[in-house]
Amino acid sequence: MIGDAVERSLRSPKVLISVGELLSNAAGSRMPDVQPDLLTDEVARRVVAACPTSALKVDESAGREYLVLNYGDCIACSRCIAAGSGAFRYAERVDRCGVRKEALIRRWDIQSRAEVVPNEPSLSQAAEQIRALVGQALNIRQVDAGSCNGCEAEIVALTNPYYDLERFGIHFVASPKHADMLLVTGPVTRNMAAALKNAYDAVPSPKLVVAVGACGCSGGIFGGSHAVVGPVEAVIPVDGYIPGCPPTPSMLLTGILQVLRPLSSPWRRRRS
Amino acid sequence: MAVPGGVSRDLSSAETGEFGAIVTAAAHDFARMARLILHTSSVQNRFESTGILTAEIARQLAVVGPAARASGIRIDVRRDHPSGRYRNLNVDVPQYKYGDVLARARIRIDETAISTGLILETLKELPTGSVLVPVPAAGNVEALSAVESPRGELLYWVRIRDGKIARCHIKSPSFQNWPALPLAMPGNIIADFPLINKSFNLSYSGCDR
Repeated sequence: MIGDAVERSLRSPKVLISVGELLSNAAGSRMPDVQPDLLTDEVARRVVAACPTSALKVDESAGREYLVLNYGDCIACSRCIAAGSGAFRYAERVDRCGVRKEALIRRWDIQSRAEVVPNEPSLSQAAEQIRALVGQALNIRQVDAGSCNGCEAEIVALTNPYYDLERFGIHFVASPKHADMLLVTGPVTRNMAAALKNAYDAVPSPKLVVAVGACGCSGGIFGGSHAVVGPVEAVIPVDGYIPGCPPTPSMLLTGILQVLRPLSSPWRRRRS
Repeated sequence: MAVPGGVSRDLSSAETGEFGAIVTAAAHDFARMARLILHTSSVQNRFESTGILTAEIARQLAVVGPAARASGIRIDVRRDHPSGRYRNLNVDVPQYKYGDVLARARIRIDETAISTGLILETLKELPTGSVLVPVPAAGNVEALSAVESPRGELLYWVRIRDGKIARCHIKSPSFQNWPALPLAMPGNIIADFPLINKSFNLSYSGCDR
């Protein structure tokens, strides 16, 4: 019977997401994107009122009004999409994975209906850099600092044959002493703060830290609770942020690779 | 998505049908895999009589969920304290007496089929009407609620002060079942530790709540 199963498996077509499809793919993450041409003052006020975590704000500077979307605060609740009369929709791609904290914020000029951002890195450029990374090895230790298990479920999916994390030379290891990178989820609860610090100290230098999810980036819906001391950056230095509630496996992998990108990128990590 | 007062959006009948088809297909695949696993001699050799949690210890530690049912304790919040739709559903609660890894695996296999039946039955009888009602801002109240999660009884206690959540305590099935894990270990070889550990399917996140 095992023999039959192996034979069937070898005969079946290979199911593996391609690198091009994988990168920045945010399908299913429920993160919002803005159609700038449909953006009006009224829509902006409505979505800001609908946003439960203040991820959306209207910012006034130099007599102009900007709609500000901070992916680090976004819990992907879809309320802006319901309230945005077409100007908001589910993002198909989210580039802001594994970036420094300021890059999680997007701004749109409401009057001229245009986004105010540096140039986005093109997919082909990113894909090239991944090719350069293949053959190297990155060992990751995942630390759950009080997460709801949503981010963990997505991280586990990275190792399945569809996403196949190991094709990039990336492995999850069982001890921070074996790791190059800590992948930290959760808002950092009071109970986990010392353990997180210990885990960070146990990783040999040079080391990288990636904060994962709305909780890891900003504390999410748990931020400000008496049981929480985070976000992650309040306890250990962070090199890159991956937003999402939870981020999809594609966003996670994009973020992990983004943190490793050379310093020439406009999205380069910068430790403040 | 579940939100206070209901769910954030309704399903069309096409989506309901598609959902039913996906669940049926997944259950079919799962059943095939489960048959393959249970009929493989090396798996039988590893699973059988490994990591036994006796009914006595399970009862003393008030173990919940599939781990309890695999040790001969037939408990299920959906049947014992039904609420909402479960009042009108007949929830079949499987039980095995051996308490080993194999029993815990069998419980999950049986429950997957049972849950598939419950989902399909519910989809057929989905009522029409509003899916979201406004929730009046409660003043100062406290509430306790238990549901049967995939790992067992999940308990929430919430205190509302001035219309806001002031305190919330969650007792997850992982928190309840963790003390039973070391008591299922004695007499087993070290190589079976990960197997026994995973057969309880405990969640780190669930424990720190």
